[in-house]
Amino acid sequence: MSEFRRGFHEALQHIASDRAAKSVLVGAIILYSFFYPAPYRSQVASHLPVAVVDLDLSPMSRGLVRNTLAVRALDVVELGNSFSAARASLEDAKVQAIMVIQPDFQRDILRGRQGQVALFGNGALLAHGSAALGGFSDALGAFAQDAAVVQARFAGAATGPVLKLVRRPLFNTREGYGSTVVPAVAILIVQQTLLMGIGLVIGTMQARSGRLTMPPTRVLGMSAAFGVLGTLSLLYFAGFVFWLQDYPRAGDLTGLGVTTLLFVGAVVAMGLVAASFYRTRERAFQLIALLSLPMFFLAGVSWPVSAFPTPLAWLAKLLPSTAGITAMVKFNQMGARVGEAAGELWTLALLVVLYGGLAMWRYGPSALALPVFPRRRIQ
Amino acid sequence: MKRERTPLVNKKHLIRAHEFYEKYGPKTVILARFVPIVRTFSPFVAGIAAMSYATFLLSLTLPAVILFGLTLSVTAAFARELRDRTAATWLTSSGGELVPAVIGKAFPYLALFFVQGVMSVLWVALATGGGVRGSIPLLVVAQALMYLGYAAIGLAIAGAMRNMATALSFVSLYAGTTLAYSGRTFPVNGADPFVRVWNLLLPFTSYVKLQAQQLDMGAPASASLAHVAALMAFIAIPGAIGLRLYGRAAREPASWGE
Repeated sequence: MSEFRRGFHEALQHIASDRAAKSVLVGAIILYSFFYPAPYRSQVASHLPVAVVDLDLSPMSRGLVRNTLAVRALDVVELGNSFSAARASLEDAKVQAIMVIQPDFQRDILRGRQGQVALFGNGALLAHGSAALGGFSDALGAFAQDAAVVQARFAGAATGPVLKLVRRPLFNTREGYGSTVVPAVAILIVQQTLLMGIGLVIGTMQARSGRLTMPPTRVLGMSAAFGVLGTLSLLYFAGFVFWLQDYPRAGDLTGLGVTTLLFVGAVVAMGLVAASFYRTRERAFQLIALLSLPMFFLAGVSWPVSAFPTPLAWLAKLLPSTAGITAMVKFNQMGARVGEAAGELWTLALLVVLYGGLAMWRYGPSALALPVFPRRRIQ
Repeated sequence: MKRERTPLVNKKHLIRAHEFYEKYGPKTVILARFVPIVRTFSPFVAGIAAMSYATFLLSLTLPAVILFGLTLSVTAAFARELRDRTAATWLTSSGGELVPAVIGKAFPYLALFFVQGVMSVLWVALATGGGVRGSIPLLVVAQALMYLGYAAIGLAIAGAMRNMATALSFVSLYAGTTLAYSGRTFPVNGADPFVRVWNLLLPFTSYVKLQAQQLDMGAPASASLAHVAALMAFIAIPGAIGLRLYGRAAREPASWGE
């Protein structure tokens, strides 16, 4: 037990006496918890600049323009009758989408046909383009309701739809972008800061006195120290940040607790294995920071893991963030029970065993047989 | 009895819309949306290929990863001279002149990441997209300018922090969050002033605007000149500040952190 306590104290002492370690393990968590959600505060895209080209100039086309002006997602910054001018603005990125109301728009509707509207979104900016087109679609939907009444008056029969589709999003009920991305990234932030913090502490030790070897209980003690910090960070996000930002919260406490322990355990063990290779204190920053973006994409948030090529899907499984993010989102945002994330929890448990075993081997007596790093003078 | 025209698809209108697209269409992309009474057309209807998610995501993330790698490497290279207390020897060995020494140190990294950057953009264009629709030389120049800008910022960060670990932490914050603040995955139009200012302080913001114009949209070169000017400013201003800060730091060994 004393070796365990020694490892625990040693790790905490190193962190407390190292400004860089404190700033990455504590400061970065707090800083990123405000810095990262900031761009997504508005949740739903709004005020996207668009152009409207009215080639009909009829009372009905003006009615459609008025509807467009009223949509929150859009800012109609250009209103004219030249498509080439609107297109030049699109290429200049002054507008994100164009609506062209075709000539004879009113005549067609009054004759009981369909009015012609062409929509152009900027495909180079997929998110902006589709949000702007969604805004146009809202305006068109509202206009069509009114136009149907007018048309019915002329034609004598309403041509309204027989089926109306109503969409009700589950879990992320406001369909907010921040609510989708930030809870996932929060888990990744915890993983990355832990990996960097462990790398910094062990890297500094190894830079000072060469390859580190220690008994298994001391490895466990160190793991416990980093584990406590990781658990606190994770609970800070799940318990405070998600509440502050008003992201969906459906915390199943049992699931949250089990996932936290397994996820933090897997990350700490992986961090210790990686750190055993560092000879300088800064190595972790260069390596782990750069891997953040690939790790995020491997987690399957922006593109599902099931659609990955097989080797990438296996690589993704080796990262605690992949199963960790899925399980955490299930418990925190979707209100799942423990059994409903069993697959992810088993994956995390296997990662704890895998990386835990590797860590014991890397710091164990057999490590002496491995090449020993030369000492480096540190001022 | 004469066959009635179906009320939903009016062929004459479809042809008219098709002509409209043939005339104006293929460089921009539209999503199909159908609203009764009002018919909306899209290139899917008119048979024009759409922008793929892969092109969109890869043309955004590959430069973001590469510029992050470059900034980390360059900052580390400058900060390492302070950490290892070798700055004086290094500067003396390069004739005591700061500017050529700094350029010489950054050059191999710039060359390596620039080649990777250009290759990745061309690969995205050829493998997933419809090729480069605008000017390839302009894209290549913009890549070079962007990496130079990030190298200049790395120099300034190394000079300001005087500590390798802190400098690399700051690089992670600044260059590692590029995508979140780029306004590409989620628009910054409705965001807080802080976000909009931070967005403008990233060379990547100017670069991706130019990339969208020259890679995807086929805009005239003149439309991209403002972005080229902005990218140059990102080299000149942080470069001047960086040389000053780093030069001062190099002369004050007592201030170097571990």
